[in-house]
Amino acid sequence: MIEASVTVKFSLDEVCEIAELPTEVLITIVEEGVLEPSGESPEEWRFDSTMLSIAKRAARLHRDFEIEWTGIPFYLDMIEELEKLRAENRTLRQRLNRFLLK
Amino acid sequence: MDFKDYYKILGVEPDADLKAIKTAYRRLARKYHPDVSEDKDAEAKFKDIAEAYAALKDPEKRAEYDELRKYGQHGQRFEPPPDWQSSFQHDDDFSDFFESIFGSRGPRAGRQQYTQRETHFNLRGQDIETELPIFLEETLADERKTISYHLPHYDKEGRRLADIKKTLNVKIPKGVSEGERIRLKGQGGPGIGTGASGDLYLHIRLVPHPLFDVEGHNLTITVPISPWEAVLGTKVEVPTLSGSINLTLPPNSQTGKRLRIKGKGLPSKTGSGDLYAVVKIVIPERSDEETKKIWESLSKKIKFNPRSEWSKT
Repeated sequence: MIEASVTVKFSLDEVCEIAELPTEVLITIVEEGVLEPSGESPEEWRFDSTMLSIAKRAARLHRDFEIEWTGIPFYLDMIEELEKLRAENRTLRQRLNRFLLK
Repeated sequence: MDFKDYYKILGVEPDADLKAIKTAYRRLARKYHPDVSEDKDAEAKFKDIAEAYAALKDPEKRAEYDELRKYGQHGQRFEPPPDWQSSFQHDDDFSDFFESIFGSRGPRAGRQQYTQRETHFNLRGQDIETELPIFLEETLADERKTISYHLPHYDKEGRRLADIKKTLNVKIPKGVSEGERIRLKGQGGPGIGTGASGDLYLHIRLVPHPLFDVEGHNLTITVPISPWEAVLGTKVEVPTLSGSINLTLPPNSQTGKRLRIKGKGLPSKTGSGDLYAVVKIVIPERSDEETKKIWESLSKKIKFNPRSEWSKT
């Protein structure tokens, strides 16, 4: 039995190593508010698994779309927004269907 | 192994210039990249597209590929000529076809640790992400789940071997939510040489429920009631994820009226969401003569304009 933990936290260095992301890029992503780790200073920042996953996405976007690092926070934000809207759309559609006759 | 026509995959002519190839790649990538696409085959499609682009964007690789293309046709079985040799090494997880032409997966810059013999290297295994559908009921407490997935696997020269099928028994913690990722360290692809294993990421997806709609940690249930229940008020037995409860509906409850049932939503790290009961007035499918008469007498006796809103404009 493997315990799937969502509370494991990662430091700045760990996230950069696992996600293959330059340190200054991750710092910018946090400074621009795309990821919000706990802790005050970069040395104290702690990221959860979901944030780590988004950091990995940053590396993918840079590689697959040849997006400059400086543009990455913007794209991460847009994709997050897109996912949020899609989820909201799914929920609203499901709600609406409860009131419409088939 | 089937021949892959990279020009066909990118939808370009065999004499397309680099700019056209790049444009085609970027257009397809926007459509099928797993980070943005909703297509259920996005991952496989994007892999083909990325592979085609990797082969065609590099003039030397493209020249080698064009040479081989004389012998193969898209989708047909293909073996490279026995004396075929390529000087390339690459760092991505591409198909057997790609590897048969351009050589096997090579050491990744910044990650590899060469041993004395140059052909042997150590490489961290691949990270794998897989979607894990979870029923709402399963988020109420720690839940045991058996998951199966396939791991890519390479020998120490970097040649791709058959995928390993892996089954894990995982304890999913109480209160996981839609979109959350859970990392299982070391459960991804095996490393090459002494390289560490990659990680497995479980991407939590909540399965749509026949009764409950999810909004964050709150749930909504639609409560169908009769017109007379709506007017007179009633007690309704409302199902929740953990047993049913009795809800008192006040008189004159309109369609759309929302009643909060505290703490009966989904659990979260900080407590519990709420369940909202939303009223929906329904009428009988059919009415017999006697019922019709009752409705008729109602319509004569009650002064009510349901469209009073309209006259305001």
